[in-house]
Amino acid sequence: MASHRRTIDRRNFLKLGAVASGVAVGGCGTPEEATTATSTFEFDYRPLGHTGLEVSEVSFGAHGLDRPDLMRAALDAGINTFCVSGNYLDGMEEKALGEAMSALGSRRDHIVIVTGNDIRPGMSLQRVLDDIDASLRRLRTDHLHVYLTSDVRTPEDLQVDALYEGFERARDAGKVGHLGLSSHAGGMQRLLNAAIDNGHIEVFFIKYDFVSYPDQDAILRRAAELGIGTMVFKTNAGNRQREIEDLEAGGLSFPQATVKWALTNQYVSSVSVSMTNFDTIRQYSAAAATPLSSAEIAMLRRYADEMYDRYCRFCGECEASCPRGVAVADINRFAMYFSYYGREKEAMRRYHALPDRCSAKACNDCTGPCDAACPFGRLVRAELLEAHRLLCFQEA
Amino acid sequence: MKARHLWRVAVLAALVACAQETPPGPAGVELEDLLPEAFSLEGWRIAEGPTSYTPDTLWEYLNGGAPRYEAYGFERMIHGRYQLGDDPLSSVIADVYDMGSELGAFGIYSSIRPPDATFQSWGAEGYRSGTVAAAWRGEAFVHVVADDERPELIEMTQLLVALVCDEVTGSVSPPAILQPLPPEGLVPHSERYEATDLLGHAALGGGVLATYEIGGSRGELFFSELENEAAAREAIQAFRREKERWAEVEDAPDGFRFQDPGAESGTVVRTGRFVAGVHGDLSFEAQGGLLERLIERLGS
Repeated sequence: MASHRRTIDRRNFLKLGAVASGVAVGGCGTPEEATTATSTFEFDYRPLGHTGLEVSEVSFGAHGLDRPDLMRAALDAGINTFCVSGNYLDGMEEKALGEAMSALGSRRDHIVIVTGNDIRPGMSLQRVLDDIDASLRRLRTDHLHVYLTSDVRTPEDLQVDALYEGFERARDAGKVGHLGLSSHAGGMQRLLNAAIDNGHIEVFFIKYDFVSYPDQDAILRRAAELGIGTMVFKTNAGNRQREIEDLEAGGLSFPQATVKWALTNQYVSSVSVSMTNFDTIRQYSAAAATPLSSAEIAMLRRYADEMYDRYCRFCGECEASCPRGVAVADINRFAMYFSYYGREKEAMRRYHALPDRCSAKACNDCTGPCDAACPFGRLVRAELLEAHRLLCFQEA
Repeated sequence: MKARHLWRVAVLAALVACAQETPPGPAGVELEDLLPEAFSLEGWRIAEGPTSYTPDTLWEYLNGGAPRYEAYGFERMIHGRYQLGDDPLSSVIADVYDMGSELGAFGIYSSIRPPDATFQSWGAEGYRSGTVAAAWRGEAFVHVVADDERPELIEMTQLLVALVCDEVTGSVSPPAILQPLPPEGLVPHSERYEATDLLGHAALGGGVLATYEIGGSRGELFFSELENEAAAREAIQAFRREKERWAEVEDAPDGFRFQDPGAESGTVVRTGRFVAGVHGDLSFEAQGGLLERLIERLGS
């Protein structure tokens, strides 16, 4: 692990955040983490689980890869890890990284490549092998350090024998190093726990922020104990900082603070950030090298206070808990059209087009297990009743 | 078969247009109405969506790509997954974006258009590349991707883009911001608009890029219009400082020239509140000539 500079009490930060927002904010620190939390960090390299790879604490997200000089600046700043995807824009990111790497000469040998593709149940072994070969071709390389099965949403998405067989064949041929999972779906708890138990996954590449699912740190710790390395992205917790007046007053940077926050977790090896210009590279390198300040902690806490229950993470927990099959997500969306987009008639038309059994009429005499199911404290039943009132001009 | 589908969709579109009660959105019609109904496409059904995304929620859909769309003025997107029969591995995903302006729609389209794409006459401009079909028209950007390159899936991507582009109203002409580009030597379909971070330089803000081929060599011409002359001076200085990290840099009239060993050369100048330049394999002489023509057109 990296040497450390200054104390960050991660556990206390989260506790304070939880008190302030009235709900459990983000990870729930454990005694072990509290010990870690009294240590500090600096921009450095961290081991990626038991893969043997050392990744830079900040890694280069895909955007900006079409500029070789940006990559060169990133390497100069110490960033050695580059994250792309084979499925996005028909492999355009991989092609850009391949071209950029080809201009780097021997420096490309220091790069850790993380890429992947959407692998779904039912896909054939040949398709998996072809996808890996296509990534190698586009990247102009003969080895991928981490290959991800991308955009995984449910444990069922991991039930793909062809993926594991194909990956092992490719590994035997020296084409790939380690198998990972990429996900930014809401409600990842079930998925990540299943992935830990499945025994094939060596790397997590996941959304991680300070207002998301409460048991995330416990899951990452369990993963780490089994040697699974974790890289994270989307640390911005919904990226809605502009909605809070003066949040970044005094020269603070919300995105940089969220990166620092993520790096206080010893189980997070690297934070992937989109690097679109030279300034971004310098700023994030500097951010990773400096500790989270009290002003930044206050900023994150304020964001958590104000935003925690104001947005839906699309986790689907509420819908799954509904005993009557109410179309929770659809109804909330129609209510959004009605309330925020001036499309009242359309919203009402769509609501009325729902099968009767899926409408929020059923919520009136329900005990509202959806409220308890929402991991983020949203009052789902009340929102549905309000939506029904709006969309029908009548009480449920 | 394709003609029959088009006829059905045309009838459907007419019915939808008659029944429409809400005022047209920025793309000319309501975004939701742009995705063809599944029953009009024989053998296909909508297996997911249509789902609407806003600037608040695009973050949840696009894996790290949302800020790019926001920079181009993204306002709303409608997403749907069409599935052929009962096979979830035979899907086509259609996303229709309301980018809020023609420049935004062209910008996001051109920023992700691969150089080796096959161009199509959809909307203002469209292309096919591998499993992707995309186009822009007016304020709308349409992006459709198939699970793989099976002919029936590719045909569906093309049909969807064509149908959506037919429904969208708005300009099919290139944005006015491209007009200063000199026509001689311009590689067709290479024009791009970047909303921010032109060439990776935050100080330059957004700007235009295009590829030129002169005497068998290629170079990329670019220009950015800054707020005022002072900002332009600051931007060219910031650009020069970055170049000095790796390249040999020397003064040139109104700017500087650089030679990056083993990579490329370039010339960058300031004229009024514009910063303009060219980089690549072109000789300094060719770069100078190209820049002269650009500056003349910028002035006019």
